[in-house]
Amino acid sequence: MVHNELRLKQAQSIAHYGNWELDFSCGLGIWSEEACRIYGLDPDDNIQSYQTWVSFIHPEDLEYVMKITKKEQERVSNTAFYHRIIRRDGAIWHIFSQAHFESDKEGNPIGLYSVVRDVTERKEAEEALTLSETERTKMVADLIQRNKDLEQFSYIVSHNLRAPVANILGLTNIIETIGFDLDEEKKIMGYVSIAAKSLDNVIRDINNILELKNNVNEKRQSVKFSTLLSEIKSSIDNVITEEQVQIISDFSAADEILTVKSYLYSIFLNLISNSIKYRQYKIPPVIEVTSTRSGNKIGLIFKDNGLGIDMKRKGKEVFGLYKRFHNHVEGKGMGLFMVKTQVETLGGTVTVASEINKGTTFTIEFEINK
Amino acid sequence: MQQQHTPDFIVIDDDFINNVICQQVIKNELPETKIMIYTNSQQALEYIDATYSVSGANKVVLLLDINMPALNGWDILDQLEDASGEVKHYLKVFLLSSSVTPEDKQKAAINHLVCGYIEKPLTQAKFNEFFPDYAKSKRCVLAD
Repeated sequence: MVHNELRLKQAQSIAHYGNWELDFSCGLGIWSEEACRIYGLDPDDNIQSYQTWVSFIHPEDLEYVMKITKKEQERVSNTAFYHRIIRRDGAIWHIFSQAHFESDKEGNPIGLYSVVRDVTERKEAEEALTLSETERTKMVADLIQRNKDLEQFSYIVSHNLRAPVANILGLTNIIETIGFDLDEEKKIMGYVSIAAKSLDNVIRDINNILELKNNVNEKRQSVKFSTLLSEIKSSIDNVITEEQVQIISDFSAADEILTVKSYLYSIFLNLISNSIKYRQYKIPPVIEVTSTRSGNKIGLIFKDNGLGIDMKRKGKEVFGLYKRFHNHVEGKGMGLFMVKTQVETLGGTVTVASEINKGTTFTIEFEINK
Repeated sequence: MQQQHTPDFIVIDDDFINNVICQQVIKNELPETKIMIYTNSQQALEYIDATYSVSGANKVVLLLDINMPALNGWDILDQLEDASGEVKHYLKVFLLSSSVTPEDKQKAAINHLVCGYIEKPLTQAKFNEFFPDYAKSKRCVLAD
């Protein structure tokens, strides 16, 4: 008998099951050792009243628990439900209660026998899962987007590697199949060399891009937008004078951010030089750089009065690698791709709005950690 | 031939080395043929619009690159589709691209203006494969 009781205790402890009984005639009941442990009571303090049991129930669950027990008491049937308790030590635990009403011969309830199980771990795990459901959806969407970007990147890279390779193949092929004189052959060898160089350039570009993505760990420092802009202005001073560029800035909303300076510098420089490069023919370029602040977000807006981009046709390609939208000036099609990569490496987002012959606006947003 | 001045081939590609290759390959096969080369796709489109909206021109083979700044190959095809009158009836468009994206090949397959998709570089072998009529006759007459 003693042995059996010991075994029961051990079983209860292992399964996190406790039990208690209530005698309606005296309003008191005996709680098992594991039941006491679950509620945070001393195992010797095992004679408890119905009121004590009620007092442990989490206030938010009280109404619902009372409703169930009252109903089941009237019907003198079995019941089972989940609820939370506030333990003696103040901790909130999740409980699964199964109760069985006992009745006399006339069917009047005379007592209650209840089994309680601590399901805190399971409930918390469930809650953790449901809480992060939106986060998970976002994460999956992010991953899909990243994957698509990478796929696009590798297509573009292979295309841009293939172009000079095709040129070299084509040139060597015509040397082999068509007879040339020495001068002509020399000219073609010159083209081979140009194609080889552009192949080398693509590989260097890829290297730079990969390095950029890997250097996230470069130290972040506090950078002032106004200082950064003056540095850039003085570095392209001659262009600004020559093209009569007007740069208007307003950093009153936010003038400082914790960031990787070289990245932010390159973002500013790329956007501003683009605005100058793709200016309208007869209007001096006006570039407005404004900062915004809302909640834990700092925004930067670069607005120009330049040529603009046909968003309907080219909207999807604006930030694409080796994508170019104008052919009257030289360009590699790297600038906006780098801007996007750097902004995203810094954990931000960049969007574009543009209208042909009106201008282009880039909006960058960084989340700042409190 | 009534209008000797209209070309037999128009090559549109911003990559001038590709254009050298095309010119050499075509000239080697058809020494008398007339080839026009455009590195600026906008200018090419303007020429085509001006030349082929009036009747009486020769049929012409368009070797069209896909990846170009500003107006790319697809943009040109869209504009040709919308072009006035008979323009597209004078054109036999072949895409000439180093693109390896399946998307481009699929797009080419369903575009009814596109007669073929040639992977760069253009070689004599490919020329004979895609333009057998030219290769046989060694003359500048396009089969209708």
